[in-house]
Amino acid sequence: MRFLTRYRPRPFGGSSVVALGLALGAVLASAVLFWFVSWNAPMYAAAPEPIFSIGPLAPGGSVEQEFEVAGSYLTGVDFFARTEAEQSLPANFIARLYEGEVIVRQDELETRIGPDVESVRWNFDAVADPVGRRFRLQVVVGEGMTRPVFLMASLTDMLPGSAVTNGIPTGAHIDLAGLPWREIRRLDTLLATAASLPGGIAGLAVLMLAVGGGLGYVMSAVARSSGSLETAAWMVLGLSVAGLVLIVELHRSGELSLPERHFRLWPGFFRTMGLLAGTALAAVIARPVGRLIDNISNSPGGRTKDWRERSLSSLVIVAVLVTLFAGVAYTLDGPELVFVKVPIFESEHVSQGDVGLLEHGPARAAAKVATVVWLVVGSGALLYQISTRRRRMT
Amino acid sequence: MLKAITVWGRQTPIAPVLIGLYVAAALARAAPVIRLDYAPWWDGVGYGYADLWTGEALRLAGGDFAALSFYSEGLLFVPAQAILFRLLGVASGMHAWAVFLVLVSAAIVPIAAHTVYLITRQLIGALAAGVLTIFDPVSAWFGSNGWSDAQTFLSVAGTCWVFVLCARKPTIPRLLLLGAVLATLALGHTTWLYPATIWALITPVLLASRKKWFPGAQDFPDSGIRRGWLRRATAPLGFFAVGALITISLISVGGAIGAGAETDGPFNVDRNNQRVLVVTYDKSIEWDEWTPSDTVRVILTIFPSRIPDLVPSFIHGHIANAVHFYRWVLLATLLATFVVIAGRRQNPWPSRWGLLGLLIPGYFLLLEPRIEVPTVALTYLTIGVVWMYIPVARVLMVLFGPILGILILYLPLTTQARHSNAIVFLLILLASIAIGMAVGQVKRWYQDVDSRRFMAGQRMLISAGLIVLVGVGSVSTANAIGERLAEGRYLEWLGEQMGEDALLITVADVDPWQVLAVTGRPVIYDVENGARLAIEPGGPERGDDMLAEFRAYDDEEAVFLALEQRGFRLWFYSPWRGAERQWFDPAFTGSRARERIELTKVADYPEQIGRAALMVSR
Repeated sequence: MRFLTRYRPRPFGGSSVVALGLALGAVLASAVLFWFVSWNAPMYAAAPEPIFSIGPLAPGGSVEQEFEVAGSYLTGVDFFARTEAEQSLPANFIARLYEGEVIVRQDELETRIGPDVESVRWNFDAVADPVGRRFRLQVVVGEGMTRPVFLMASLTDMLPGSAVTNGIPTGAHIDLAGLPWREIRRLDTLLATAASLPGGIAGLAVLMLAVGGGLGYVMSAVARSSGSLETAAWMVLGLSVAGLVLIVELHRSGELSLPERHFRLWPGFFRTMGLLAGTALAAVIARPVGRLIDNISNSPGGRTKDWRERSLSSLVIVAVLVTLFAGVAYTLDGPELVFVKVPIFESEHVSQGDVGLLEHGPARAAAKVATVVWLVVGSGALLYQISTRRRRMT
Repeated sequence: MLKAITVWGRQTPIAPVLIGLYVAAALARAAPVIRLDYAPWWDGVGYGYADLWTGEALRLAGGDFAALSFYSEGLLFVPAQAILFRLLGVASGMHAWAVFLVLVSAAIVPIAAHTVYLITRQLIGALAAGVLTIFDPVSAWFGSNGWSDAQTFLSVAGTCWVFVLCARKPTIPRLLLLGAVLATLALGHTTWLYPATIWALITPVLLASRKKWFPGAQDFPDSGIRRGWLRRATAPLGFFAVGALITISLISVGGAIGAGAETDGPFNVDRNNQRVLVVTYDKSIEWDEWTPSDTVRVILTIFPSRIPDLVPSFIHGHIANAVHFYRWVLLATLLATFVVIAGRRQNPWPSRWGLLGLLIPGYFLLLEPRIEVPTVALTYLTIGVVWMYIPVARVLMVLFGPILGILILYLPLTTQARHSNAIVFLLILLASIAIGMAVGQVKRWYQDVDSRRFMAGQRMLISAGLIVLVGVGSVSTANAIGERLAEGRYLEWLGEQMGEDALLITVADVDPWQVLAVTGRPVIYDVENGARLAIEPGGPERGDDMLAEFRAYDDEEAVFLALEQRGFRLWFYSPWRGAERQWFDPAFTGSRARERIELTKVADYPEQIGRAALMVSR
């Protein structure tokens, strides 16, 4: 019995038109979504705790703080300020961004500050490639200020060096509470994503070709496409789907800090692509399973002719399906506590590949049910083998 | 030329895959060593145990054969290192040793891949084994961080490979080779003595039925006593002969077998391990009261009742957490096994021997019903299903059974990830065999439909996989080389900043001989983990004794004071990790109380913003 002999070669134009149509739809959807992609988030996962004040600072007084960032496109910095006035007043600051002794960006900021701590955002033209560079933020209180100003400090020592007030360093653990910011859109989000991969744009292209092309290839197997042109059409669809999934993930990552660096964007991408590819693979694998069922129920001349063999085969199918359910539920469930961590020097941890869509319950229950069904299969097989041997002996 | 390569590739399709996997593995293994995440002189954490074998290799290189020792677990590892020390000196020898370990560790990858290929004859199965082995984090780490487990990993992989070769065709040379490789497994590490012996003893029994469980068993005249059992007994005979030869040679040159071996027999060379085992499991026995029979009694009476607690801990804490994408590996194994089941359309139920596999998930259901962790349940289920339907997997599980047993037995005591890696290796083999067999089954289904397209798809997948693997390995190695070159430039600059009276203190993840050669100043290496080496220009490469007196000091400050009183100005070097160090924790004295020592920037390094030359603040 051959499982895959029932297909008829089809000319280009059947499933390939469907594939190309779907690909066009995916490309259009991607284009629309891509237009609205925007990342507007801090570049540090943890915000500073601005609970201590540096000051009072008179006009001309300044505070400096060094910092570094781990992702591309630095477009701004938040710092925190307050004044002793009872109501908020107009305030102006001169903000400078140094790299070594070179001023990289400089601006005069107009804002309002009051007795409560306010965050002041300084947006500037993007520094496209800040990784591996050390910057120094200098905030100078503007000449127009009528009341003393306090800039807020953090004691969590997240930043390199210490805050420097009017040229004098503070304690090593005292930082100016600053938060580098990134506000980028469309192509810049894609370039930032590519910059996190080995090989940059080329690396992203290879990844998309491999993942999208692979998905397309599996889909072509599901559609039983014939010939390289039809396969190519399905691979184009796979590629467009991969593009769409990536753009959806770019969209979803808009408010995360450095989603491309901290394993936030990629798990979502691989999860969706994995589910799509897994579904397609399951469809491919379902074919022989279907044929197996077919074979068992319609086997006039085969060996599976009596009710015991048919029942046993059916039980095996049930056991396979329940086990498969348990396996899929296990991959889809959430992370477990790991008490013993194996240190990994490049990626920091071993990922078990949990998807996080389910709780532990379904996998655990399905594993128990599968075990029971397999035990029933085993008992049945044992009884069948004993009875067959007895029959042979008599 | 290209045509010749293409023809060769078609004739022996596995060869290019193995070469590609080896290159990818060597690159992937080399990157962390070049970057000095770990290296033979720095194990990556600070256990410092590798220094034991390095010390023995130095003694052996100096002609002291008493350095050869079975119970220190470096009997086969130490001589190889000693040869390099003898030929190249300490510094160059250590660097050559690092390269050697990387190349040997990478060899496990094609060995695993070829083992799977011999069983399944499927390239995708071989590729799966290769990929999983390349990214086996413990094998990569302990394969090249100076621990003797590197030799054990190689022996485990080599034993599986030669065993499979014997199952395919049990010629006398192959059986002798199996005995020899098993002897290396037994003698390399005391933990593996018993499992290797059991492996050797059951080999004849398993090989007698090889045609029932090995899919590619070749016809071979193995009937009759002379050609059958006597031939198959070659493996255990070879094992005991090689073991005896090495042991006698060791004794004759003055090496050590093990404390107690003389009185308690050779299988009690690990008597202290057995003592601690017995007193842990049986609180009524005192340390000095132990006798070898207590070990047997504890294993037979007390250990079984602890198994339901120990096995889940082992799976959860030693296997699932040491395999990347463990859940997907299990799922792929299950899917592949179901394809194999679908291939047995006429009788999809398990055979009599296969039914024994039900004991594995059945045990879980009956004895561990309260298990809340799906990882453990799914592991039992997967292993049980694989046992039921893949006969060769059963045989491998039987062979690894004693290893698993001893690891679980010692789980409350000494079992570590470097030991349990053998079971990770087994899991990789089982998953890859299932995948290879499933691909073989799908190939049979496709045979009359469009075999050419299937083959083209398979080749495309394998080529893409190898290109990605080699590409990733090349990029990470190139990055690591770039980082080391940048460190070299920094060290040159640092050498210019320091005066003649400088003494350079370093952290662990540096190459002390490179630091000495580039800066030309005395170096105290790995100050935070015991200041393990002191070397100076013109001094011995293995280090001098200047640190010995400091071990008796009460506090770290006193050590720095003493160094300054001798006229040294103390500088500090640590590789660039994105921010400059502001302090360090010295550990000269071995005292538990750490004292943080501040560092002072004395000059800015122009090439890396934020980096500076650092001096010890006092």
